[in-house]
Amino acid sequence: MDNLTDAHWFPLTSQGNIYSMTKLCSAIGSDKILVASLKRKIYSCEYNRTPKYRHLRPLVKELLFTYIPNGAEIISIDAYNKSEKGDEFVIGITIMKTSNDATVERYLNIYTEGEGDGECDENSTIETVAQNCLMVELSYTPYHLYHTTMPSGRHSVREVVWLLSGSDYNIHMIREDEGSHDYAESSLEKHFPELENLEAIATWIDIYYYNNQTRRVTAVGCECGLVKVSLVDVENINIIKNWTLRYDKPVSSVRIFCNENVVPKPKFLGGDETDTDERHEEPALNVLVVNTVHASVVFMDILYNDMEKDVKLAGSDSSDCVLCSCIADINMDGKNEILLGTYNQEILVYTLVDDAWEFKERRLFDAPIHSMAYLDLTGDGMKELAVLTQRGVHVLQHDPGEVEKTVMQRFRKYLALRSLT
Amino acid sequence: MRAVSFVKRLQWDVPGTIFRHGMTLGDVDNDGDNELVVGTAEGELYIFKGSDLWQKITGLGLITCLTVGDIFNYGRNALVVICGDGWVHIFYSPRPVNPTATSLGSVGHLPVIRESTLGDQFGVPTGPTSVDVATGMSSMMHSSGSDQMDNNVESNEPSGKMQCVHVQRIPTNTKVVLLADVDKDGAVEMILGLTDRVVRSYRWSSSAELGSRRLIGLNKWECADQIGTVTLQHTGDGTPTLLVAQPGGTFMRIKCSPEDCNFDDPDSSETNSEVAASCVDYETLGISRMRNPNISTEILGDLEPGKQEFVSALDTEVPKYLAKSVSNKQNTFSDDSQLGMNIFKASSLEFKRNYSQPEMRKASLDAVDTIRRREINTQHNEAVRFHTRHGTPGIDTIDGNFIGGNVVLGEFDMRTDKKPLLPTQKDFSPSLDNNKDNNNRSETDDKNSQNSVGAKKGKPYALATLDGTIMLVQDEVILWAMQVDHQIFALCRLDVTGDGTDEIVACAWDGQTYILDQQKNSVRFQFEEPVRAFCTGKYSVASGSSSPCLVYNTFQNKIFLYHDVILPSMMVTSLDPLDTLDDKEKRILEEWFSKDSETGKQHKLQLLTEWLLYSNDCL
Repeated sequence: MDNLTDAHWFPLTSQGNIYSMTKLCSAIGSDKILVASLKRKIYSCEYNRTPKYRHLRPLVKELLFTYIPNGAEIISIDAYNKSEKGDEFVIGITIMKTSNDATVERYLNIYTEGEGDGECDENSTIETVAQNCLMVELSYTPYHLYHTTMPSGRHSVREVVWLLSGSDYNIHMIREDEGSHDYAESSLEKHFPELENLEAIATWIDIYYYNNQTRRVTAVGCECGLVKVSLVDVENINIIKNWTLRYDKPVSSVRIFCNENVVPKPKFLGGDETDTDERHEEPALNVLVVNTVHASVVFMDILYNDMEKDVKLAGSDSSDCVLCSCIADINMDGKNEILLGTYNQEILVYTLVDDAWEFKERRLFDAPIHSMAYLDLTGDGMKELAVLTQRGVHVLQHDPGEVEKTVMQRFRKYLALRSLT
Repeated sequence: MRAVSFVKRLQWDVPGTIFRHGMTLGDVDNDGDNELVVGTAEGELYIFKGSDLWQKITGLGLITCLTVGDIFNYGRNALVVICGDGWVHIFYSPRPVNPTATSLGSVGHLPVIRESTLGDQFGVPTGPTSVDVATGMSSMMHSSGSDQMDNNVESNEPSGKMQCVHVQRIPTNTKVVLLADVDKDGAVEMILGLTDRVVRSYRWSSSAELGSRRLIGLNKWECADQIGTVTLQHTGDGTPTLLVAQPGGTFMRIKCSPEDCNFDDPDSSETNSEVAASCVDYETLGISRMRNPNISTEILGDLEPGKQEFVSALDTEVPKYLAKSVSNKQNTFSDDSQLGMNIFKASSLEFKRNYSQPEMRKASLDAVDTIRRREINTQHNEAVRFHTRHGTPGIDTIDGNFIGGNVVLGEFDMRTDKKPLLPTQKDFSPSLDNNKDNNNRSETDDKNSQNSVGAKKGKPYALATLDGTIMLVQDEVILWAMQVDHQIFALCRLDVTGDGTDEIVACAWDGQTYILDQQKNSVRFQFEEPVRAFCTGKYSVASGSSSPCLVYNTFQNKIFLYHDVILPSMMVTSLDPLDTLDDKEKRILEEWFSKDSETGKQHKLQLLTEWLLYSNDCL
């Protein structure tokens, strides 16, 4: 992490939480992040490129989302891009508002480009999205807001649905109604039977599809220490396997990941851009369980080993409470690293060395780490690490000079390989 | 504006009020590591080394400013502590470094030398009678300073702790101190800026015929208005000048030639006040007319120039300055020390402000200057005065202090034949070269400028006003100005990029800190508390290494020292893979992208870069 330098920092007027930052992944340009602070302010951060000089200008905007009343508090935010070719963002925000008569109102606000109103051009900015709100009233306090695809949706098209964990010890699925374009809660039974009857407050949900979206692994970490991992046959909605673990302290995050990332080869080089890790038939999937108090654990290759082969992340228990995690290849060696963010204001980095996760380095920040994301904010192909702390948001960038050399070496290697074939 | 957050910091509690210039970083004990020195209004002096308090000295009086430098002119640093109530204390570490210095430790039991010119406050004329009075005073002071002596005796271990080697009475109300060679004579002078709108200069004298080793007053200049800060600035031909910040973003430039300051040269008797007055220029700078004339101003001179001249590189802010001709900057220079100056010569870059032509401004400036001088003439009995020993009777009528070097009032040390506690200049004959301290900027500057005689441009200097204007000025032409919405009270230099050029660091009362390079690229750092005093420099957290630091003193009586304040570059640039590729490879890329528009190309390049960096295919 030493080669990551501070590119930008901006403060938040009020602190966020572990659900307060989300990526906006663009299909055509550079990515953005959305950060929500507790007291209603939502910021977007992106970079402006001046093509001539390569200077990057950070652009932090406060976005005004409608239907977030005075006195409301933002709990979680999530977003996805509906379109594969353009930018059609759908943003979900859960809010909670205490009224004068001590009743609590809770909503899931879904912001999306209104369909069929004639303004649905490609230039739809996030500002116009923020003005178009659909509200879902909730009868429980929302926690983690997550979205996932549902391959066997209506008309066998991929459909994106919201999953929301609640204080009522359940996970709720919220999907768009076909006719009215309203959102409403829908039964989990037909689509996500593995999430039913959780009987715990889920703090984190992660779902991973593979084998052409015919199989999925679902992992849920709970406040009470329960971790549920399920393997599901998607076509028949049939739970193949179920693993249940119980820790005695809260689990802040669960992640399902491969050791290696698959990045689609660009089309103009004869690659197939739809070639993602979801296609693989039998990937080596690991499950990271982030324990807030005890050491975090990685279960290696669960499809092969079941949940038998666990590797502890040494030192993750000696630091303060671990709040968040991020899986990213931050040293660009083709293999993923594990990043843990702690309340002790540091990020711990672990790399895989011979089937063991070794602690590599730590980096100190100015405040407790709430969330991390590794994404391409600058739109140059090199990703940046965005870190949400209690006080603000840090953007860390790799040293462009060093990475340029790596690109050159690999490009030459590719040319050499190409000339051979 | 880009913002960053620095994390590595040290924190100390320092009870007491610290004045704006009451902190400094420097190598006080000549061990090669830089320390932090803090003086409080309660008379306590704290020296921090590494992560700990190294020495605490009490009972000094109202410390308003302090500095570390070679005041004795023998190549070793001493700590100069100025008290607002009219005392200068000089501390020196008897750390044995070379054989002559080892004797220092053994003679450490000499009493503290207290020297007083209090006598002339009573209007005692120069002459033998005053000696008695002065001696009486000094012995009185001697006894009153006994607690301090104990302190010194206690710390007189071979540990190299600081010892008070000299105490002297000076005029009261000093707010800023500067150690620099202002008259190009190779010796360092002490410049004091007073809240009485007066700038004074002193030099350490160890010559025997004057009978004493003490600070001799050289010059006194009166300013039109309150002094912000005083800084050293070398003009294009290497002449050192003093810049004194004046309210409203203006400043006074004082040129002092060696003849004017040579107190022991009887031939300089012809120097009269008119010649001296002509050495003082009042500079208004173009845009000062638009500013509030009462706003306090900070100035920072002799900024180490960057390798590239300021050209409005950022596309949005072009039209303010017109570059007349930009010659090729591909000249390479073998000698680094000459780099800056040579570039000025090679590229005849001239900026013309749209609304103030330099020639016109020059004329108007002269006019302003004369008017200003006339004003002063009427306000005071004398014009901007210049005191030499022959010009005036030796006693300043305004504050009753004694100026000039010829009249010695205080015979402070009776045992004249004793081995002095301090080595004299003879002991360390020309040892100036091994001065490793970072305060010897002026020396290297001298060398620079001497090497490139004929270079027309001086080094740039920066001004900042309380209303948030930061300006970079070179030869009285504003290169750029920037407005921020915070009240800037401190202006310092620091090389945060490590490329040898100075960055400007401006700190506001609320803790907002701006780091600007000379190309106007800026980075912001928010220190979370209001700031009472601020300084920058190098500090050695671990012995043997030092890193750029920002030091803040808060109103909660805490000191925060941010170390490793390093930024690889001031700007954030995106990755450009084309940079490192050769022509053949670029052609291949061009082929792939030939059918695309500009944005399409960029997108494809992004996809390619991502694939190369994050997939396993080309490892």
